[in-house]
Amino acid sequence: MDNGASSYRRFLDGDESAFDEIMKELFDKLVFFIDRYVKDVQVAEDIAIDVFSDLIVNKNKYNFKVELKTYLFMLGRSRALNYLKRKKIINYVELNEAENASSEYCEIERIVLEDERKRVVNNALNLLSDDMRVAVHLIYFEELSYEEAAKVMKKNKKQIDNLLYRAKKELFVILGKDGERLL
Amino acid sequence: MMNFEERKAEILRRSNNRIIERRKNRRRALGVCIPLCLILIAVSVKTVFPIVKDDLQKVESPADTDESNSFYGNAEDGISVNENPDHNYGYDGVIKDNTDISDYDYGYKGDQDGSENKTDIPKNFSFSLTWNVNGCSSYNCETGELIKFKSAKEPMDYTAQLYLSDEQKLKIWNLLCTLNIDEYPREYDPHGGTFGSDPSMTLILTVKYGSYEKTVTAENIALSFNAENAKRQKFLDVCKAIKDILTSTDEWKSLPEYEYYFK
Repeated sequence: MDNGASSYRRFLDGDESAFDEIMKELFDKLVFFIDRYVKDVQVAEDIAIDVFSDLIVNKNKYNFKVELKTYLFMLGRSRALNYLKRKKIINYVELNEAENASSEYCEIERIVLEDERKRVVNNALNLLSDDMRVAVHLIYFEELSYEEAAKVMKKNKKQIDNLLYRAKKELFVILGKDGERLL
Repeated sequence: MMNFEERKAEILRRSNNRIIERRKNRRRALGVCIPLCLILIAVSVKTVFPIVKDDLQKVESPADTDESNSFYGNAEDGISVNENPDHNYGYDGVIKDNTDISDYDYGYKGDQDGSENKTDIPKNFSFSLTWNVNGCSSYNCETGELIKFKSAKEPMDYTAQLYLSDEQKLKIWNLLCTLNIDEYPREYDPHGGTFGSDPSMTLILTVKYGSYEKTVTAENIALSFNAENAKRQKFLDVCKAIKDILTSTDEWKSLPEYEYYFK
């Protein structure tokens, strides 16, 4: 499947089941990506639901010039940043709620990152800056091209390259010799 | 976290809500914009139309402009209709444009093709025409005074009483209906101030009925009954036609010949 574009075409032509395919393929990955920004799985899921409802409400907005996955990630990033802007105060949660949140994150990590190596890298990503973390996520975990990652992050290809270079250096420090092997 | 079905249901629910909300907002926007546009159109038509109408009347004839005044000469040298007693054309200088000619419904709506409309003459209809081709002649329908030559040594020798027949009055009324005198300014040059002549010509036409009165003065214009456009030609044609009716009467023919033709 070409990251959902053909399924979306079928959906626009009236095939309701095509939307289910898109959801199954991309929903969890989108939640995982949005969680990089908002650091709250439930919020990330809520934002992902908004993004997918956007696909239904604004059917003609997606022009098929980029992959559907890239388009969804662009929308998700935009909404995540809007959420962070609106979030002015730090929410203190009860310890038991924090535990629940943590378990949900583990679940989604398990769904998206089947590869054990990726899970190791994922844990180290939390120590990187936001942009480096997102860049590594898009290139390494979601396997987007540099051009597509640049579109999602609204940067140019060279900037993505620089971010990845610096991220690798830092991960090497964090993960040690094993880190270089994992990447 | 939700399962697949729950997520899908939530996505569809939010989509429906957004679509419904969007339709409501569109309807609200139309509900406000359409009346607002109609109000703006009505206000602008009410405001702009009279201004445009006045401008068009001014543009049609330069009689009211400084350029047209220069055609008539400086104020000190020129003829002032109201002040110079030597030029009494039988016009008392009072203009009462109290009502618009269109307020009176005589079944006439500005017919411009020259055809005669057999409409009833309104009550109290009268007119006066002053024309100055040879000497200065005038006729006042209200008083019946027909003057062939005002500048004569003995003006009374050139004065007669003429009471037009109903048929003649109707003919003149129909001519005036085709003219639509309300469209002409009070001071008018049917030649547009483009050329003059020596001797010049003067035409003063007054129409009265009920409380309506309108006078169009074409003073010291070029001696020609040919004009450049239809509207100007119409004015000249009507004045000439009325003049011809008056000069074809026995009363006119009974008056002596002019003492001189050109001064």
